[in-house]
Amino acid sequence: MDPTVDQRKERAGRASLHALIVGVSEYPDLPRADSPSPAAEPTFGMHSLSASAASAAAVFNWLVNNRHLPVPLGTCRLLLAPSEAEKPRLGLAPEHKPLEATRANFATSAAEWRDDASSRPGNVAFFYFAGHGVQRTHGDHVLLFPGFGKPGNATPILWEGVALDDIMVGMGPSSDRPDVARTQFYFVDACRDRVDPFDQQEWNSVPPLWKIPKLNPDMRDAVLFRTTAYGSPAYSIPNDKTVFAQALLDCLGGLAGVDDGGVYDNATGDPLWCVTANSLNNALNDRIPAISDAHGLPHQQVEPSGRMSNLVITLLDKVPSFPVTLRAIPSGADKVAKMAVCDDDGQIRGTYLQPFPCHPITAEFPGGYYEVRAIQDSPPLLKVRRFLSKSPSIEWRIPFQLPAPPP
Amino acid sequence: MSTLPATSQYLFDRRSESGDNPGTHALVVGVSAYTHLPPHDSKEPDQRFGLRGVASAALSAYRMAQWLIERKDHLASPLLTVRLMVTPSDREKEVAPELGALAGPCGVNDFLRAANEWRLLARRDRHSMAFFYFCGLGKELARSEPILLMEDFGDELGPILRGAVSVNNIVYGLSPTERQPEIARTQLFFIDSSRTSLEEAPSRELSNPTSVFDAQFLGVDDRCAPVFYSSQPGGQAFSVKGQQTLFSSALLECLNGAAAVPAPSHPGDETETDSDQMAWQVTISSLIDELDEVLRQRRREKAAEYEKYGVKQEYTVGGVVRDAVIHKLDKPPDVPVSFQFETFGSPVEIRDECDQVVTKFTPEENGPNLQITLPAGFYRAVILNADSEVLAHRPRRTKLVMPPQFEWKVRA
Repeated sequence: MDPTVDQRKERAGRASLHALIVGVSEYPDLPRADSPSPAAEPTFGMHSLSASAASAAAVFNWLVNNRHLPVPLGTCRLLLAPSEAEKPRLGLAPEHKPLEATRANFATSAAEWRDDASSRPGNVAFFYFAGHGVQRTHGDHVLLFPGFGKPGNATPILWEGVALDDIMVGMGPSSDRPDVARTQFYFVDACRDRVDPFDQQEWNSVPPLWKIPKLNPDMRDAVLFRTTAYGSPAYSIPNDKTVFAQALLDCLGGLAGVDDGGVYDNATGDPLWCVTANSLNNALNDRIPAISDAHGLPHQQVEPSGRMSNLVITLLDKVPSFPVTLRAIPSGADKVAKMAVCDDDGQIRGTYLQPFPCHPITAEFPGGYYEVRAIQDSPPLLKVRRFLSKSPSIEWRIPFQLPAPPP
Repeated sequence: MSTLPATSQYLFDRRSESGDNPGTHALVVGVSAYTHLPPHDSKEPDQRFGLRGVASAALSAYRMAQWLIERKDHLASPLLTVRLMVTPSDREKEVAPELGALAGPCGVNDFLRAANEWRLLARRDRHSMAFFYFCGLGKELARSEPILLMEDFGDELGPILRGAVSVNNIVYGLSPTERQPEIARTQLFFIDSSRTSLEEAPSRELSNPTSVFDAQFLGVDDRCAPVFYSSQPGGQAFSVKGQQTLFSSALLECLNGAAAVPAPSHPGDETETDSDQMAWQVTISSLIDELDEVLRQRRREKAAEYEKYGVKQEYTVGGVVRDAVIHKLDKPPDVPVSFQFETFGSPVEIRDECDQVVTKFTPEENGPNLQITLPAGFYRAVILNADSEVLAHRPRRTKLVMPPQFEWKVRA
């Protein structure tokens, strides 16, 4: 099957990023969201979804339009099973034709994805799945494809499932694939519910995805982000994307930006802003609750694992902006303070005169160093203070020297 | 009803002072000498598994316990107990004679008892912290199924793995469940061992390490419980004989300041709202980043030695990774700063956050790179003319000097 985006000819002989992106909303054997779904077999209380395919499409669009990946895109395979309501809002370019997200198509696409990723160790493998997921034991995660929930006794319950560990182990370096991509990113945007009625089955096997030769020592820089903690559901924004996908795109777009990823501008020697695995984790922990709160959804807890560290996921095309909070201290300073926030070039980026509409003051500044100056007839600052605008959002405490109260 | 052990079994115990307050409970294990394996300096390894004892595990564990006690009041949750289990090698006893007195049994039954008592302590308060460090022989049964070998491994009583315990079983056994809803929500696990396979043993015999805890149905896992491994799956951990492991040495360097970051003030923080001092702390996130950096630095410094002995010291993180404070530093850490200049002959002042000059020098062309040590924090380089007047304003002049080391290019 041809990849949805194929730049293998242009990238011949050079390290490239190879992506496999899957979004399953429509599960034909599961009831619609507004219909009852019995907690027992075969539907186990699950419904078709409303945002998984749109989320996968959004991640696909981010990836194929990103000119700042650590290595340029080589291939991107997109598999979708959208709900009827989602189809008009997938936002795909006409030339980007996704494959139908079935387990069979996934198996074929995954094998081809692995072949592409195995051409050189400098490649990067990128995997995103949004859809239903279940968890049988603590370390396990099964991703479900259309066909799950089929009534009748002939088919094993998880016949249309793929074990996440199967995917990740199969992407490991082995004698057959010594040159598989050493940098691998996995994003799994699916529930991790433990389904108690599964325990009524003697076995709950998942069919293997592929052959896995004995692995070599696993020296991959592989990192896995799961959208939610063991035993908990993941949520979506009504008629939009999943909470995780929205947070992921916000963070990859700049909110997780750091300038200490060890990447520098060749010309100036200045550090470049980028998103690393560790900065993404920190920013997601900030962003996901904010999105959940904004939409009145329960919180979910992202769970990463693997080689976190300064593993660069993407560079940023410009310095990102971050929310900051300015608090004049000590108590009472907010009634008299007048201040200007200057950037590191000495340019004034914001002026704040009492009475402030609200205190602490909320603002947004591009990442970098700032100095706050007392202006006009404000009490002086106790000392020069410099601050950093960075992720996650932080508070600047600005110390003013208030006159001593009359005796 | 389980009872908790007497204070005498702990290296450190101040439960009596803490009342019902939460705190940190540490279980620190270092197994160098194995009863049924030849010692680390034996010419021939054990014929069954190709294994021998190790030379640095007990000392590494001891150093870790010492660090905890040293930082007892500065941990995110104050230290309440440290249980140290060590079987030192003769060489380690020469290096640290006190290890002889601290030595005790570390067989699988001893570990089970200690681990379950440790869990009982951790179960009391969700605001507590559980700290686990193991150093010794480790193996991996399948990907992501690492096991730890206890002192009596290989005793030929029962299955091969009776003397081994599963890391996953320990980590999952400390999950929040109906039986332990109030268990400490911050849990740090450090597994300082290799993860190579037990190749001499048939795989069908490698399915039954001893369970430390029951496998219970779990609820929502809302812990912060990262597991730091000193090796990749299938990889090896390394040490210098008679000294610490490379991982524990790097870990302690990070904890002692190399992984320190400024403590952010978050909107809504109720504490210290009137303080503008920049506090420094080591967090899980900063440890993840800087362990990498410190190990990389060591690789650079000891490239020839590492090459000679085939050392590839890595680390990886698993478990439930959320950021949390591990401990707060008393003062900003000292940072070695290396300056490179684009302009020569003009005096340069390095000014601190309050614009006070902390040092002044005049770089000379072809002179050596200037290296000084500064407390971490915000600094600026100001270039002066011959009359000590500040030359024209230069953009991007502020630097946040951060550990473990900082390279500062002073631009013209």
